[in-house]
Amino acid sequence: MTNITDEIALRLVEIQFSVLPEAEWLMGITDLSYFPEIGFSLPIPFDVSDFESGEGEDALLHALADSSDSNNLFAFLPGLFYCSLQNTTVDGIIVEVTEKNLLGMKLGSFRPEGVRTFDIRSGLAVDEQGKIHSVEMSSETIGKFATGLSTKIAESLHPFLDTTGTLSLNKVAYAREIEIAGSLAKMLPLQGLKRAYISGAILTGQMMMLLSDIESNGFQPRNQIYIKNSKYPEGKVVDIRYRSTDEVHDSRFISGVDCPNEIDLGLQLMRLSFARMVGDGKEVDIEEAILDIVNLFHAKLGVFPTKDQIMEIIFSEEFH
Amino acid sequence: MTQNFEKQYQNSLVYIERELKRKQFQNMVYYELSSLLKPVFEAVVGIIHENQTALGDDADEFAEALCFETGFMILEYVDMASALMDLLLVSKYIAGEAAVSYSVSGVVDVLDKEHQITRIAAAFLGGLVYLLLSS
Repeated sequence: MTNITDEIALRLVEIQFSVLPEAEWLMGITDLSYFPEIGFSLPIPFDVSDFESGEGEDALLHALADSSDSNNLFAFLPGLFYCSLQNTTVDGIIVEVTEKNLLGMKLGSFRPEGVRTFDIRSGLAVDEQGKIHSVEMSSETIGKFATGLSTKIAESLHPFLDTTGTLSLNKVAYAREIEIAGSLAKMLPLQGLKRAYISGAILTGQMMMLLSDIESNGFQPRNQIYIKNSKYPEGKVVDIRYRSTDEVHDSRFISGVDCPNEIDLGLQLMRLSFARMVGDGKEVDIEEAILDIVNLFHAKLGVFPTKDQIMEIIFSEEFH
Repeated sequence: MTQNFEKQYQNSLVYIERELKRKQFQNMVYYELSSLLKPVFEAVVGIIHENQTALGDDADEFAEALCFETGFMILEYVDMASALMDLLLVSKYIAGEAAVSYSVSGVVDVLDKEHQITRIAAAFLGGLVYLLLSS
């Protein structure tokens, strides 16, 4: 690897699929200047003759080549990510960009607006008098920002309660969202919003899932990747093997990830090539990009950093 | 799309555009602004419920996409299209706070599947109200 550690900025990155808090989310740490932001690749043409080794395997190879045939764009983010639905961490995110038409609207499998980073250095907290102040980003100080509405609510919804003291959302839909929006607008201008968002209990909880996993398992490759494609439209975590670090090197292939349980997916991933923006700007495959990022983690934070060490780095560096 | 809710959707947008351009919306109180914007999001919910069969498992995804598109149009009426970048973040923040808030208030069925579309629409409504008021 060329010396690219000076050009990087490790950042917390969130991938949001829905506005609902219980829906799927992915949160990770990566260097967004690597590609920059997100890598995109159209699959390069598949040439079966590259892989043919002899008798008997040709039919299988052709069948696999057909099944992995896709001319859609793929979005790729190398980096350590926590996947909420699978409760596990992966070495990168790959999404095949597909579109479907529903009632005259185009729905894309990937929404770039849902990928965000947090170029902030401090968080927000609310004290007992309801005053907002800045806090350093550490595991002790964050997670304490709230509009204060959740505790006041009981009174305003009281008239709607039925005899058992419970309530159906049907009767009060939109009420809380509107009041929270009103309070937020009074409390905070737009520039402070990301700081408030990341300092809220929900986001902090999600971030801690990621940081705890790193604290326990370190910045070691997880040997698995998150994939969302035509075969797995709901997203799936699949096992991968890195050929360049594998002792049992398969001589038919030069480099690139291997998916031992999903051969067709492995062939699909091999056709992807991304231009990295750091260092020499060369084309890299999925394996090289992931291992570059793992090396960056080690250079910046070592193998087993604490939560606070990670937070110090991801919320303090100059943002590119 | 079915006639009634689609009509309500189109009419609401026309009315919203006129009112936002006529009034100093930054000076409106939050519940006034909410009352102005709410019908278009109720129409979104109506459109989705009427097309439940056609949408199937994609109903939530469709709701998010249509609310996002609606938010974009409304922000454009007041030359705030660049605020769209923050709409998903602020709407998610509001949806999360609201879910906690409803639960502690005795709303037992907040997370039920049948309310998901309404909660998505309400989150986007809240997100827009915030963005317009803090502009």
